[in-house]
Amino acid sequence: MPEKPKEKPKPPRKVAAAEPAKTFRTLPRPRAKPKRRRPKFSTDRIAALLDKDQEKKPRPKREQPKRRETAKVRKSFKDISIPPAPARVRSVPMTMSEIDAIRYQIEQCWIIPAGARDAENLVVRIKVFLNSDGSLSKAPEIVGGNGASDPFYRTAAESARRAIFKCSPLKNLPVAKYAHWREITLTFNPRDMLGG
Amino acid sequence: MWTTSLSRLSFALGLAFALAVPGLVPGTALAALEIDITKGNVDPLPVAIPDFFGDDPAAEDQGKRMAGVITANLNRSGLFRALNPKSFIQTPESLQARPRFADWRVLNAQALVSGKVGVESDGRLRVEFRLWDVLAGEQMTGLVYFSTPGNWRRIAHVISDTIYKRLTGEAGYFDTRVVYVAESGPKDRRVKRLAIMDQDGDGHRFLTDGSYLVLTPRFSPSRQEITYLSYYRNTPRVYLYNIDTGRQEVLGEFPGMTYAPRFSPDGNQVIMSMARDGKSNIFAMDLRTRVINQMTNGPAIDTSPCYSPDGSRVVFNSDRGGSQQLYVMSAGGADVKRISFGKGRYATPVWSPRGDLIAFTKFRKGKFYIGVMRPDGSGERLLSESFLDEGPTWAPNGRVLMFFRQTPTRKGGRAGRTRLWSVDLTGYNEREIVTPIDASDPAWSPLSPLNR
Repeated sequence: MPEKPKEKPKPPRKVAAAEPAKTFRTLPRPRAKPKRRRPKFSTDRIAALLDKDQEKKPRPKREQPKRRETAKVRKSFKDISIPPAPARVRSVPMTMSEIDAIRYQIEQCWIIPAGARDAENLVVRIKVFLNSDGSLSKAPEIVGGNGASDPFYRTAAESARRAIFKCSPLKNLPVAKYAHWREITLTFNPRDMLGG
Repeated sequence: MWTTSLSRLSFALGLAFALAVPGLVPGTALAALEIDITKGNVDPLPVAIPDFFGDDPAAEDQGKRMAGVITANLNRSGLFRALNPKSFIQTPESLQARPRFADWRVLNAQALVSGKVGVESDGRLRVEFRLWDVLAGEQMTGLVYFSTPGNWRRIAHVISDTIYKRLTGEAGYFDTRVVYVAESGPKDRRVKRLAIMDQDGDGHRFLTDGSYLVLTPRFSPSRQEITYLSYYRNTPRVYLYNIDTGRQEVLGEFPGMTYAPRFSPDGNQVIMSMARDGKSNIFAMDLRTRVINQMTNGPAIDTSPCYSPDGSRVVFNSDRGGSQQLYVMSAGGADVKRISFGKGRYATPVWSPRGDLIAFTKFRKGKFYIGVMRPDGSGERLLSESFLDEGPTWAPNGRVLMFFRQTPTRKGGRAGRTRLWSVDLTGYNEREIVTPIDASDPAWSPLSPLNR
């Protein structure tokens, strides 16, 4: 019976996994994840990198276990299928890679203010208003900013604003999801980079 | 599925942005997208510094020199990158009306410095400058200075400090000077003279003639005054030297050997160590009353004392625990606490002018390091490493350290070079400060009152 194997249905798991994705096909597909090029020198923990103390050098990489963890989480969600709901189509959320694409662009444009004394003073929330072509529809607005009189905060806020101007117009935005990104609140926080 | 897994994923990663949940928020009333930016560049900020505009050839020349000094200062800081003037589109003259920001954006400039130089009818130099945010198209600051023409260099330094402060939030350090020990001659007959120069190496001059050995010059934090040690007839004496007047006075002859005198933050005390009978203790002298107060008393060797910027504490090194380590005590001499516990020996502690760190020299396994740690001893970081790095001194803003570095003795027994180097607090931007001859033991001046 040579025909039998041909008719054999594909593993049901695969079909189930593909099902929800199918409904999204009617919409523009999320762009490919942008290549995550590493910054010139890895800036994750400047303080540690800069430390010339040789004995401290072989430090276990913090990121790796996290990545494994993520994979685990991802795996555990793989089997959960959500029934397609046509009502939701109109407001399909931004995908992780779409958000990553925005984040990546801003990160490339942001020169972290030097001289930072207290990283807490350097957290800046700033609202960005965009046209559908990714250009700024009006000037970005600093949110909160009760530390406006603090020169360090002002420096940080200005550096964040410069990053937004420099990155304008933002590229590779999913036009169909304009409603989601016409207004973005960015939180600039160099804490991870100042570390130590 | 996307939404669920993504929001869970983001939670797992500890990211703080919230994703708009479709279905729950129908139509156009979507919550604003929130994105955390936690990475960026630590690249130097690109700045355009065209020549300052001058109405006549002399002023034009002056304007060129001033832009040159500012460019060199900002570049040397490592935090800025001055763009090549050859690429500039807008001329210094037309810049006076208003910058054409598009012309500067094309060059990737993020900040722009424009200036104008002229001589007033009374002969005074008039220098005007503005700092622009190129991307926002706004003026960030603008100032006018009047001074005698001979002061043009200082004005350029003060402008550099203003730019630095406006763009980093931190005070600058360009309008400062460095005093150090200039060395010449063979090893066994070394001539050591006191010398002073601007932080950029300009205006170099010798303060002493070399007939007596000088050691450990230190700046007064409040006056243009130096304290140092000089061997007069083989007896060490502590001197005070006023840079402006050139007046020199002996602070006192002390019984036994004195070492490393250093001012208190208010400039009214000098703290030092004195050796007697094989032990060395720390003493403070009130400069007004000349009363000496003994601060440590023990059989150990306590040296290199330095006050915290608020004057409440003193850091010093001591071998009381068996090896040379750093200790902190109250300004009264109480509550002595060891703060260094790493491997190796620690010496020459210096408290940062902003109080958050203590710089030191460390010796371990045949190598010298300049490092910093918090006043409680935590967060030790080594910033430089070489055959011999020693004697750190802080820039007045607590961001840059200067020290001296000796290269190994060369073949044939000739001594290696000894030169001054600076390094940023991040450990980047190590640079030699060019001196005419060998140099050791630098001391950085405070910012001039002009700049505070």
